[in-house]
Amino acid sequence: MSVARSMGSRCHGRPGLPALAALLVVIGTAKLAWSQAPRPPQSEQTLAEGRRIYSERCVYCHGEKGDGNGPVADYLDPRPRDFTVGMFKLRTTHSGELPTDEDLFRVVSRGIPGTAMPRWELTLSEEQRWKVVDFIKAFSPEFADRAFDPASKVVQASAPIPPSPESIAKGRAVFERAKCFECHGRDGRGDGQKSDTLEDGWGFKLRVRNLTRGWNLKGGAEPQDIYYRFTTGLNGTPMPSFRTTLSEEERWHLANYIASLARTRESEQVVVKAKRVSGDLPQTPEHPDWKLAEALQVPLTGQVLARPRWQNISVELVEARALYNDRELALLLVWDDPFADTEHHADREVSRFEATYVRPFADIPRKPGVFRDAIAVQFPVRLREGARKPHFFRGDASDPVNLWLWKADRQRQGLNPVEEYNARGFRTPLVLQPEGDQHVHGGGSWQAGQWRVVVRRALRTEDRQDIQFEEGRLIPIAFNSWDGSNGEHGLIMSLSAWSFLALEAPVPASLYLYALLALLAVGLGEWWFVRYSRRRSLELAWQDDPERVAPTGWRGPVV
Amino acid sequence: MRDRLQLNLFWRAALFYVVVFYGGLVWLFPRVSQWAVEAPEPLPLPAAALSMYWWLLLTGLFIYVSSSEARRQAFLHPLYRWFGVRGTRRRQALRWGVLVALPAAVGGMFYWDGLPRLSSPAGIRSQHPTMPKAFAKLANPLRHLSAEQVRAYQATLVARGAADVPPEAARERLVAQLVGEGAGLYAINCRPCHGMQANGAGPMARGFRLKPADFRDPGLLPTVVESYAFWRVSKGGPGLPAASTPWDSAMPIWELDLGEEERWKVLLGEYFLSGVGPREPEKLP
Repeated sequence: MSVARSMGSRCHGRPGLPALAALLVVIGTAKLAWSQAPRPPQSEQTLAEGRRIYSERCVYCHGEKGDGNGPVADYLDPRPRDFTVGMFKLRTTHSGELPTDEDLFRVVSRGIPGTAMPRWELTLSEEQRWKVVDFIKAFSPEFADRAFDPASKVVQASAPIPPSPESIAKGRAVFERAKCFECHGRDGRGDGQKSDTLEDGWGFKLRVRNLTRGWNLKGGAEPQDIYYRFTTGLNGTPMPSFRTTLSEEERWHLANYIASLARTRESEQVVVKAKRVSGDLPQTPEHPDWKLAEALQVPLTGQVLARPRWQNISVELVEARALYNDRELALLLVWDDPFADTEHHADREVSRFEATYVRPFADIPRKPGVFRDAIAVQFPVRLREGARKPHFFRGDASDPVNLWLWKADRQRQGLNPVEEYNARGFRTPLVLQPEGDQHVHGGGSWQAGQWRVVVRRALRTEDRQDIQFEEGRLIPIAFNSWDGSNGEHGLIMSLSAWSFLALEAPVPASLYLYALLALLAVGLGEWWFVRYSRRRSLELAWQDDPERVAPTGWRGPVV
Repeated sequence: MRDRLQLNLFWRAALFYVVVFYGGLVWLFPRVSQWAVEAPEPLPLPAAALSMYWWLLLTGLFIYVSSSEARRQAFLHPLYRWFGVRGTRRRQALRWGVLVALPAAVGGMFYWDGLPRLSSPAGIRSQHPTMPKAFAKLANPLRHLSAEQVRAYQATLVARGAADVPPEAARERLVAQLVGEGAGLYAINCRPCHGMQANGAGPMARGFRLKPADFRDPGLLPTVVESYAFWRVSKGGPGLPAASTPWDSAMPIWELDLGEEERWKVLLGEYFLSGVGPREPEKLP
């Protein structure tokens, strides 16, 4: 447990707060030390066991030779790690050094978010994971060489600086000074000016991490995890180590700042609630009225339902808001996309694929300037009673869907950027509605790695191929999204399952009447009861003592 | 001392109602059920059951207080005195408070109940619908290898220049090869959703409303025969009956992309990676 040891040895903390600092170190080490039980001793037998587990679980991606060329490798971006060269990204050791055994164990245990590497702690015991780690090390001769011993190259981290608004503000300044924005972008969405030119050590194009997606930070989203990423650098990538260029304190502030950018995507909500407004609907994404509407975060995933299947998506989340008035409905859609791709070359579209999935580095061009960014909102054409809906992937033959497709290239050309389509399942192409039936309008803008697009349509149209909106109903709504510079076009896209759109129904006037009637009825009952009680209480008092009741003139009950 | 603690029947009935209904049914019961089944949160009684208990409780109390003239009087007389006798200023203020609050609460309840609300989109879904007859008869041709299949494999080994392998060893090697190939097909095609750990937590799983099946769930694969799994793989979500909400299932129609043998092979890999086996079809005497 070299990490725990190194952190403990430097536990001096801030003056006046030694106890707090010690506590934080304990928390920090608890987070970093993933192994609970002592590590089992290595032997021929444990190595053989590690080989067996590797060949049953890991070989499909990392390959029999450990070179990251398993049968799945061609479908993945980032590609699986090549174990033969001893180059690892997620470490606690200095830039360019080998990882410690604990580093490897931690990655195997918790997996790498945003990649195909799963959390093996869910199904492999600690002992099994240690055996695999030992076996993986055998692929690379460097691990056997005492000169490269990573245990002596571990970063000596000081006690963490607890996150606070001041620390985060200082971290923001460090982000500027260290020019992190050149790649990660002004707001951390991976949209820096250098971000489309980067390659890894094997010549594969890199996608810069969007720091606002906390669920995708490869080494974890806690300040402690983030601290190690830019203190050690990511070997084999352009991400450098800032250990010598930034002070210890600056790096903790920066870690706190990055952690503050990271959003989560835990949402159990499934309904976009359209708020009713009295005046005109906002026409632009920047309009302040959008603040009236509650946002729903809709998760998107790869189109993996039919060939060409695609699992290296760029758009994982669309934030949807809705407003309506007596005539129209407007939706605001916000999603992260590092480049505004406003050109489309239809002749570069790929229609033939050999395999069931698209190979990211072989089958499609993934660079700016080829395909456009786009988003589609999908509704059923007909609203049915009960649970029945068209299939969320483009409907089906008996149950068509209506799509509003916004295209960045049409927007740039000054055309109406939103076109209306219909679909009857994924096996037939989208059908563009005739010009006279195009009723959807909209527009969008791209800023700092984010598209914000508004689409609007009348609540009701004459077209039988259109969705007709009704108040107070749950209307299925789904999204398709394309990031052009990620090579996405056609069915190579990300998509969502059905969520729901609901136009808030106004409170019916009759409800006020019913409430008032209930109130009056109870009041009337009370009035009667009080009167009755007065009489009965006199009667009771008379029974107790007739003399006391005499002054009221009451002569007792009539028998 | 004892006398001071004596409450009249009205207050005892009211106290009984509050303790049993709010203390027992609303507060205690959910916590006891939580403890009993080790749930992460208290498990409240369903609204229908709660309202049934509420009526039972009120009926019981009514029967009790009206079961004899003495009880009826003990219950009602304090009420007559409270509402009928003018009393102190404090009593008057309190009485007005009750007289105003009660109708307001009932009116408010009507209003709250009648507000337009969206019903939950959750519905009932049939998890294991009956498979079509055509699939029920099928068996995995790669699971129980015939002597002929083993002989053919021996021949290919010899053709590749290997020394003669005895039939049992050849069978073992063939099984391992088929399982490995199946797991490879699984890793390419099924892993994105169902996960390399066969736990339904692949990198693509998060976006779907209907979560990909967890093959390690002991209530899933071990409860269906292999031909059932073959049906699900071949026909996918669109092959489900309406009761199983095919429109929410992301399962592809794999017969469009994988050959019949590949689909059987995928099943070998799937069972291997999940560590569970298929249900064996029952033999009728």
